[in-house]
Amino acid sequence: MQYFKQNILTCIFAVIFSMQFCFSQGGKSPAITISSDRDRDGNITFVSNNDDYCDYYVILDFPELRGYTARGAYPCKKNVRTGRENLLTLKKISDTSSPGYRWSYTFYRGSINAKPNLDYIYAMPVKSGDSTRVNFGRSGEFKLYFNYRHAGDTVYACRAGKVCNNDLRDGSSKTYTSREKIVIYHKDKTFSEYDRYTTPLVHAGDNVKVGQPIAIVQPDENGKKFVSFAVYYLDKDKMLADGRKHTSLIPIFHTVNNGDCKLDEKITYVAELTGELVTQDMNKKEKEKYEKKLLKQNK
Amino acid sequence: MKRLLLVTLLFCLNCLFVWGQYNIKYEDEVLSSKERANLEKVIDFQLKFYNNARLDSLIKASDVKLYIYTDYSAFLLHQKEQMKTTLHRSMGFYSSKNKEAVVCKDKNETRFMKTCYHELSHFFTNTYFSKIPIWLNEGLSEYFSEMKVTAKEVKHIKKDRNIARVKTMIKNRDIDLKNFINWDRQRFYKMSFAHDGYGYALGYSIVLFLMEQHKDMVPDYMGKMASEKDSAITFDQLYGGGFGQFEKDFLSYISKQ
Ligand SMILES: [Zn+2]
Repeated sequence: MQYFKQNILTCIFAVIFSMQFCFSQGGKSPAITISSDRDRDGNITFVSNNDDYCDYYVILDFPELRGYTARGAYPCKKNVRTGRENLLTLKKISDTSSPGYRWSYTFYRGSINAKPNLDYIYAMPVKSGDSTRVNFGRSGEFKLYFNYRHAGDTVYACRAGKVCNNDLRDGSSKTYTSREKIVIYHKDKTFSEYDRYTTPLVHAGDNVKVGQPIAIVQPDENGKKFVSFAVYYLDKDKMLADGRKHTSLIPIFHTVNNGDCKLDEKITYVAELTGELVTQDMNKKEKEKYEKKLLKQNK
Repeated sequence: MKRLLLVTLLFCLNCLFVWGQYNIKYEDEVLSSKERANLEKVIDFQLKFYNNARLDSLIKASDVKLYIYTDYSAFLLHQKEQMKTTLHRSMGFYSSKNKEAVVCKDKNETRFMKTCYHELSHFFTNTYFSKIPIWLNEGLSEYFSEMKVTAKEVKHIKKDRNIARVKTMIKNRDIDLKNFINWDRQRFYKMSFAHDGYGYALGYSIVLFLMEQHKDMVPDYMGKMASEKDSAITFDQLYGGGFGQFEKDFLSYISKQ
């Protein structure tokens, strides 16, 4: 959490503090910055600027507020989209002698209104027709490690969405985003994350489709090729508790030999990309467009 | 190597009315007098519970074995000797070779006491109910690790984190109860480490439900489950309405927490 006050001395300290904060996080800048605009009557509007390609949940608080009333409830808690959004306006009370305020904010990647689509069927991240096996991770957040031994070296998107910017950081020092990860934001406000030994083929802001090549796997020192895959969302039930604010899900995958299932260890699965998998997240218009394109290709 | 500290607990059977009739021996002042007193009370509490569930001979307090290490590397070495492996991030374990609970002293007093209580429960289950299913074994340890000891009583304090975890599982359609209660150890630990303490949270919550709603029947469940491999059959036979009703009641109980 960062604190700001209407006072030059505190501002200097705040700048030094923020700089230290930045350096300690590998120089990454925050995904959310807050600016304030003062109008002619002395009212102050706080605006969030989201540099990432997904929603963030922002909490803006005023530990000290003298001579102002807040238009809207505070602490202000809001999901903010990419770009600028108004958060809250402080209205000056006319006859106050020494008005002042101090503010702080924090922010988490994702939307507090995430409603995971539990019926969604994911495509496996290997080429259609190839086979793969999985191992479970041990980190606590549910992760599947896909083995690429018999599946070439290309990672395919399991679900459509927008690629997030991992050169930014969120507001808690606990959550780091690594450069090697590819994080994709989906329609139901969940994220999927691909990690380990990958060279990305997509960039922040890209819209990816199901089955689109998104990365190249590099073998580890033992010649093994693994890519980890996780699905998670910002969990409103975890906001008041300590620790991680995201909850991971066990995704259901489409396989040729086992149907649609939760994957288990020690079973070989064969991947398949079907039209149904591709069109799941599409609206009516997008579906029509996709089908037209398919018809054209088949002619 | 620092010598390990053996805590033997001898119970004076002819002085049942007084606390502190245990004879706890150790070489250093490992336990503060408060820790020692709390440990005695919790051992007694667990002893009563587990003896209640046993049909044959009673477990004597002098049978209870708990080793407490002060030196972490000595603890790890002992763990490796006993289990042929070292458990990551764990400050306690049950040695089936020696039939004893082993704990390493932790600077964090609350955490240390919880580990002692947790491993003590494993001492009872693994030594005297060796065939109970893993969900019940770990569920009981999770339950008994959260005890509040006052001058008057020993009381369980609900583990909110575990209950919240199970609520999330329910919301995300992440529970197949019939399947879960038949998981073997390997599956239980794998899923628990992979998925945010899955088995511990769910096992605990079932134990909590039984302790709160069907306390008198818990000893019967313990006895039956120690001999019946399929826990669902035990519920079918002992729970009014069978497994289906148990599942319904359990989910409804959790939703009200
Ligand atoms: Zn345990």
